[in-house]
Amino acid sequence: MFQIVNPQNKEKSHLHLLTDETKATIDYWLNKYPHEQRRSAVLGALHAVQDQNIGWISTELMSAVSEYLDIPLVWVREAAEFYSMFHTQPVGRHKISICTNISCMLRGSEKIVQYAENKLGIKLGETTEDGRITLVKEEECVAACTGAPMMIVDGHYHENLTEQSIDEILGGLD
Amino acid sequence: MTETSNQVPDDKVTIEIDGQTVLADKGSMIIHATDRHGINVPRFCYHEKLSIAANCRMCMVDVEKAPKPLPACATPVAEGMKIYTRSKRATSGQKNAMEFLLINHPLDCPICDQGGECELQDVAMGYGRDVSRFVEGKRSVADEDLGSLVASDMTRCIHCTRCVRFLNEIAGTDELGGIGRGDRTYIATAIGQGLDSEMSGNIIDLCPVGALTNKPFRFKARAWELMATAGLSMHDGLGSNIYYHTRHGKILRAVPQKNESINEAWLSDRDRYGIHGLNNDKDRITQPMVKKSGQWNVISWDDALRILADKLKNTAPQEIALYAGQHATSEEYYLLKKLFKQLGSDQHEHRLTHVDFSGPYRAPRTDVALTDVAKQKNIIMVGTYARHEQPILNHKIRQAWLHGAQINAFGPCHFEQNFDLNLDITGHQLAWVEKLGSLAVSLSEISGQKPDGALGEWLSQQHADEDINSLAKKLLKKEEGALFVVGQIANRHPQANLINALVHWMAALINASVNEVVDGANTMGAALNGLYNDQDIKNNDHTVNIIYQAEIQDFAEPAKIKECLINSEMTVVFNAFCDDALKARADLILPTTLLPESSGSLVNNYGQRQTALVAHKAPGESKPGWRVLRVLGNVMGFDGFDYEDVYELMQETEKLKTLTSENPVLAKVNQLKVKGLVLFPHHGIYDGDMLVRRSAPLQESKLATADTVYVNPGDLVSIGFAVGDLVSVEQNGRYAELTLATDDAVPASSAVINMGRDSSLNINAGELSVSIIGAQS
Ligand code: SF4
Ligand code: FES
Ligand code: FES
Repeated sequence: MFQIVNPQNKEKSHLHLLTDETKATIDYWLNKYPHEQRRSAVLGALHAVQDQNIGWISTELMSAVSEYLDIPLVWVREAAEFYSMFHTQPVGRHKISICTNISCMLRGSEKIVQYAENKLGIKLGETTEDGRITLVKEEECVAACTGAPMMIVDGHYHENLTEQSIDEILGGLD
Repeated sequence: MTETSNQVPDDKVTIEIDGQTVLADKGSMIIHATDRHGINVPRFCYHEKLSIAANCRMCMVDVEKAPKPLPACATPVAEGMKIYTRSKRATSGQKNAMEFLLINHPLDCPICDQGGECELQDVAMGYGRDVSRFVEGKRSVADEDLGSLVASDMTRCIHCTRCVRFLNEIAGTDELGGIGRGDRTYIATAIGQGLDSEMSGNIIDLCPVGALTNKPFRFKARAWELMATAGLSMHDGLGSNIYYHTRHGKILRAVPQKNESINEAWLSDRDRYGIHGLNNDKDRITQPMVKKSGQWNVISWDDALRILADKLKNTAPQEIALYAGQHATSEEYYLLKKLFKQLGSDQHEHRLTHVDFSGPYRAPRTDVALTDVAKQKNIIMVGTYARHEQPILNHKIRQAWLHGAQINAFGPCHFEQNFDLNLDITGHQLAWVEKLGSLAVSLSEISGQKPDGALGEWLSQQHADEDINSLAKKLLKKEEGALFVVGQIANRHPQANLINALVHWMAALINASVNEVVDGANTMGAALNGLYNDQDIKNNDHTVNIIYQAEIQDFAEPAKIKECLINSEMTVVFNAFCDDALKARADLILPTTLLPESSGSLVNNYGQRQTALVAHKAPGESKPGWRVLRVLGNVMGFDGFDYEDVYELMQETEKLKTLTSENPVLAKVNQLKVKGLVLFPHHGIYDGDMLVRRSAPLQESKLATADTVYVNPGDLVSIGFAVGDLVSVEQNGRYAELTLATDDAVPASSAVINMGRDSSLNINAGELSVSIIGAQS
């Protein structure tokens, strides 16, 4: 890894940011693919660093993943920015994604969004001031259309939402 | 001729395009066939040198029996397929794609730098609607600073991903990617780090819109104001084919001219932006000048040549020396040789970058044509950073690697490559040559063959190495052949002769080929004209020194040449530039032109002779070198200097015999002892000639070097200074003031100094012992 260039143009290593646990998880994913296709481990790796870093992935962590997998950094960023399950900005303790895709939209997801926004005092994509809840910017269909409208709270599906059920769910979060 | 189906070769199918029956390669795409037969299908994302993405949907054609229009770039041909490129269904598909592409594309061509040479603009003229139906707001995307070479206007991007694919597939650097998704996708670098590739400028040509444009050329001219002149690059030994775009006799930019045997459709950044050095007025010489009692006086050409002729006439022939730079035209070399023959002096040398003159002169060996480098299965790089020496050669090596070749490297440093190396054997300047010796030892032990003479003796003191042994075994199988690429680090090595002898011996043993990377654009031309000497002429005393198209920075031993010039009576400089370092030692300066300002021929590393025409008007009273030499020959009263024009001269240089490379003669190995650190004189990609050194866009780019000395982090303690300290590097009582830096890629006990810079004018590449001491000032 060397081009004798101006020292100020050299990038620093971020490998030390990965915890042993994260590295073990990445290794688990790396083992599943042949070396030439190690790019495939990027999703597993991004999940691992996101978990390690209380729910979001910093650019430094992306660099660390790219170094660890030995793949171009831009591939890591492409994946991190493509999927709504990855967060590249700091987030709250709880992540709430309200589906706004077609079935949920037909079943009134716009109202659900509005209700949640008013209740929490934040817009989609924002985090409450106390750092408790983030309303995820957008969520595509997660194949729960039969229970539309729906939302995902920290990975758990909640279907057939009503204002009342939203109150209950949000109230139950620490 | 009509083709009937029973004549169709196995690998072809018969298809019909717009009623015309043609043969197409099985498995090829419709667009390959339409392109081959000159049928125009509009496209944005398709490019013949890149993989197929099929994301713009502009290339819609109508295929009989298909339920809807199909993209020509991603639809394979099939026997009997009937294709219509202009039917209603085809054109409406194209028009619809166009309308979609324009939804978010700004309609502000008058203020776009690409206006007038924009693929989108051209196609929109043909397929777009006159009035947009789209009244909603358009999206905009923030621009990114991609560095000093490429300007970005990302709002104009149509997401064809040509730039992304180029940097992934050809450059191998992957700086750009598609970030986000859906209608919010945008093209960006990962963290705003800019572009690192030595070939980054090509994305400007590839970008079909004005999203990526040439930064130094930005808003300088409109395409229709420019004239194109075919030219050749003077920055490396390939002579990449260029179109210079000029206005009023001034080069404003360079773009590639296709040549499949050399640069394909690409240009390295050095070839694209080197010309900006021409417009740098600093140190440019526009009138003949003579130094009288320490003062420079402007004189006429007549007087200047008379002064020179008088001096030459009154000097013993062997007292006259010539140091010729390696990027002048063959015609100039031809006249220089003629001049020196009639003067009776053989004190001429073009190998300014060499330090080992221990063997008799031998011409560089190039067994494998450039295009065939991509077909090699085993490549062993010896003392080369091909990526910076000849970027297009490196591109071919990468292509070979992509097709499964195994690449190994021996050198003084772990260089960053855009391919994987099987072995990357490094050590300080003496150590890596010994490692190369280990390869020869293994080959010798396994095969039972031994070199004789000095090489055999030296080899008997070397040791086998376990890692390298496996490579030797593989090479000895000889099944796949192998190519040694011996580069500029080897050329500049004080044991260059030993390295060459080693490589030649190994190559003969395993039936491998050898390509030696030359240093200049016309090193071969200078060699063809015999401008060399079997000895290091710097070791002889001369009364008159002629420096032809070179600066002190071009010498591998700048400190040594400075000594030579000081100790002579007269130093004459034929050059376009003369900086203070050279001026201080010169007595007479004659402003001659550089390649884009003169016509002539060059012979590249691979023996291809090419000609270039004047593209740029030289300033002031500068004259092409061949003209000046012609007049000088006449003033001297020599025969054979009556040329009407350069074409007459070219007819003679065309007849020069081709070079045959002899085996190196190694009478004795240069045994070197080193005290302190071992110097690796590194040549940065943009420090190699007078134009790139003066090209601001290149000097501001990421690959530009600095006044730095690099050491291995492990050596820091014994050196006793910290990273970032200003230190003095001492070499035989001379000093260079540099900033200390460390890098793991530098082997232990090594000190890497960037040569070709003002800061390293006191450092000779050939003297390996250096030490780092406290700053002098
Ligand atoms: S920047 Fe240009 S080349 Fe790159 S994707 Fe956009 S339009 Fe295509
Ligand atoms: S649309 Fe909401 S889950 Fe499918
Ligand atoms: S050129 Fe065929 S889809 Fe873009």
